[in-house]
Amino acid sequence: MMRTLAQCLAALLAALIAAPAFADDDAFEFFREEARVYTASRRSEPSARAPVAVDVVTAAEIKAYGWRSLADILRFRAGMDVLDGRSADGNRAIISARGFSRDFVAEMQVLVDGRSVYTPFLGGVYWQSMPVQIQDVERVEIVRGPNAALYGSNAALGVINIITRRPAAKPTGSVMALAGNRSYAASESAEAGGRLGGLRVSHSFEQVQGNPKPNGDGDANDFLHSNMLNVRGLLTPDESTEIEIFAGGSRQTQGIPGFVPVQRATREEDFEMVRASKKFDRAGALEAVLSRSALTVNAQPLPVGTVHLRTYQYDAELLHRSSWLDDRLSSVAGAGWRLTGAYSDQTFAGHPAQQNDIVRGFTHHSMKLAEALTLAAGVSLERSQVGGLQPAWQGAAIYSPRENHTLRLSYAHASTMPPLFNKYGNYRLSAPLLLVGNAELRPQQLSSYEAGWTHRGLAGALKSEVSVYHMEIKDRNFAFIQTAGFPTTVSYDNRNRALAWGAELSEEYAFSAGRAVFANYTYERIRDDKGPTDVFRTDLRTGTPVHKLNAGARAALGRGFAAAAVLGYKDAFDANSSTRGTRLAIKRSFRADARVSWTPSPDWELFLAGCDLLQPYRVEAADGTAVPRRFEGGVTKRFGL
Amino acid sequence: MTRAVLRRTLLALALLGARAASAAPTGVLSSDSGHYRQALEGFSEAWGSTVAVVAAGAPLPADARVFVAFGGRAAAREWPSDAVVVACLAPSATTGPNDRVTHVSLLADPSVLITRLRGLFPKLKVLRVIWSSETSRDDTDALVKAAAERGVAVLSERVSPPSRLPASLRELRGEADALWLMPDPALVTAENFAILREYAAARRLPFVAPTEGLAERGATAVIAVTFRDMGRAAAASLRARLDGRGEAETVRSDRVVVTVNGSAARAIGLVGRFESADKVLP
Repeated sequence: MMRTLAQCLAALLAALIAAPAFADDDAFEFFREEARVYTASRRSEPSARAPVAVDVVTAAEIKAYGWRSLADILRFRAGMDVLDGRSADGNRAIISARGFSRDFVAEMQVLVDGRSVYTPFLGGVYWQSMPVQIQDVERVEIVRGPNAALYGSNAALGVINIITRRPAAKPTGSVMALAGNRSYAASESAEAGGRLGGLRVSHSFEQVQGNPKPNGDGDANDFLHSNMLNVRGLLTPDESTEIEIFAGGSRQTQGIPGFVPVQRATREEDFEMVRASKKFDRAGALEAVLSRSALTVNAQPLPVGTVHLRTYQYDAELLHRSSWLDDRLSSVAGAGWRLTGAYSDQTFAGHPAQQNDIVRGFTHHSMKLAEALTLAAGVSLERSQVGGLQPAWQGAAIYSPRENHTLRLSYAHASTMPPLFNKYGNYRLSAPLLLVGNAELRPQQLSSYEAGWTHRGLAGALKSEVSVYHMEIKDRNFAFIQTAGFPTTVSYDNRNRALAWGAELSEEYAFSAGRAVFANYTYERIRDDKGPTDVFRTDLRTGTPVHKLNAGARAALGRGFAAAAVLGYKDAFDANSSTRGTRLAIKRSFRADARVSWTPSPDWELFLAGCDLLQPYRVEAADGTAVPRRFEGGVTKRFGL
Repeated sequence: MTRAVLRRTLLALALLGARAASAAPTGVLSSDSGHYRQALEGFSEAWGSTVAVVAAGAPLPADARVFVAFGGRAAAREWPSDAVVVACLAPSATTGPNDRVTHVSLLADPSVLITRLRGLFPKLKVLRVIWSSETSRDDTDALVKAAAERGVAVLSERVSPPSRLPASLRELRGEADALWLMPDPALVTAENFAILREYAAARRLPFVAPTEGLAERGATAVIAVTFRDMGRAAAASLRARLDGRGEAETVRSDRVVVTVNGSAARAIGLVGRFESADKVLP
């Protein structure tokens, strides 16, 4: 199989190399040369220089590689830790940045069109039930490292910003049907628009058999039936004003693997958001956002009975963007209010309604001091019931000693609010085990030092990035046995401290439109004071692969054919499940995915895809399942082209 | 008497020689890059003879008074007070009120552009124009005016600074039938080009780029003045200046080459033979 895959990758690479490269007289060379004149004459603009490590996954990449879930999109990116793991309450992906991989990653903020989808209950994101359809995604921006000054607490390890596309200007639609050895799915969308705005409605359905048992056989009770509906509307009453409406929901029934008797859960999520923005000629732009979301989970029946949980979140935010001093100074300032809470008779026994009221103000500025030097700084002040008064700040120096070379040095301080359950929980997980929150639990404090180098070469076709970082997390949450006996009581405190350091290298080369290769390498190490003594056996030191390597290629092969393949390598590590209290030694592994598509006309596409092609199954999480080899084939029809 | 005639003859010959020396243009090249060389070749063809060339940083010949500058670095240098200068391929340079430089714009005659654009996309009603630098404002305004005269509305979108392009695209108002990228050095980078190409593809919009070579990079179409034709336009405007018919102003070529990328066009649902195009890539 390895040989076959190597042959396939070699053939794909040969196709890429054989394909005509950029014109000899590069189209951008002239503009690059003239842009230097702009810089010298002080009429110019800064090049794209970000004060943080940012990775962008575009719709073209998502389509070419055939990624069908958010976990797939993030799996092969530098610095990301993605596992096909199932938590005890039905979360179906474990996604983290820069280590700290566990069922719910409280230190990472996830936004969909600017709306936070972070759940306050356990801290983290329910990736599978989040009402986002891949067919609607325009790009995913991955910010690695703290960005709390802009996005508030819980953005300590990074921010993932999922951006959906706007409704099309003309009436269009699409239908996709897919079937494979582990699942079948369908999606539809219809959209229309005009001068005054547009509207898109999209729906998707998926029935998944799920992962088998760790020996690769049988049914691990990992089924999923999922329906999602999204609506996105746009109203543009005039050239400078825009009102956007977002709404959506998902309903899922799923099995929870690893329990006897067999567990299942239903999960319903919905949201609404209105975003209004106004551009001013000289005063920048003003944006106001109102949103509401709710999640209802019925898990039935855990050993001590059915668990009902409802979480909700209300957000209001006002944001002002402006540029000053001939665009040398760019500023963002904003204020926000958030009410978030969880209601559960079972998990908050005695006090079923818990909530957190947050107010926040923030500002961020980027100043070009000289042609080669830009300084960026931001500060945020947040007051909440759970975390009290929490400041966050960050600063960065961006220096371009030579054209197309950018060096970045940054420091950031960010806090992470403890999840509501860790603070106020009171839950009899099983007869002998009682989980009790600690009302005195404080937010974790993260400090990060980072250096990066970015290079654009070969007329921008080659993109190279290197980041090295060192982080310290103080007051880290730690689960300990408060009282031994029957039941044993487990609670949380702030006694742990963790150090993390690592490096991320990334290379991308675009031969031409539709033909590109990428490779990235991630090195991650973590040390902490408490080691594997956490009650839930979550050992930070061994919980993430030290070395990770990914490489991929995509190519338009002519006559409507296109192919893409990705190969990923992960070092051995210890998988933890904090919601199950399980740990499992995972061997080093390779993962190979490939996709071939044929587009005989602009409105039709037929495709074949395979995931985890190297072995029939592979264990990568401590959840009682294995990741199987999957094959899928499908067809997409577009209308109104 | 004979001595007087001889002296006058010599003086007349000297003046004639001096005039001939000053009227022969000297080319000033920003660098030895191929695009400036192509423009120089176009200039020489239209002028009818090869011209002496100096580098932008080199001293100018003492007796030279007529110059053609290729590139912004060349255009930005100091000129003798009585010099006649034409600059091409210099988008950062502008014509000031007391300027003695005639600029050949990278943008073709907007009326020709819009006509050729409508030839490619007959249903074009609204064109979105993306630009960034202040020096592109005049070109953009000229395009807006020409489009309006031909029944095409233009949504003029300034992206400033250019690093805000992704955010600016998210904030765009209104719907357009095609996307036009201005020949703005601050904006035309491989990265921005890729962003715009994907933005347009996601919305099934034709993405029209301003410079030869960009069709191969995935633009739906390119409507551009070739570097060689910009050199030819520079020769024509210099001749007009020397004949007393032209002033220091911005001139635009009306010769454009239209290239269509067939696969990019098909990908957004445009089918047809594109007979109005000069070149169709497969």
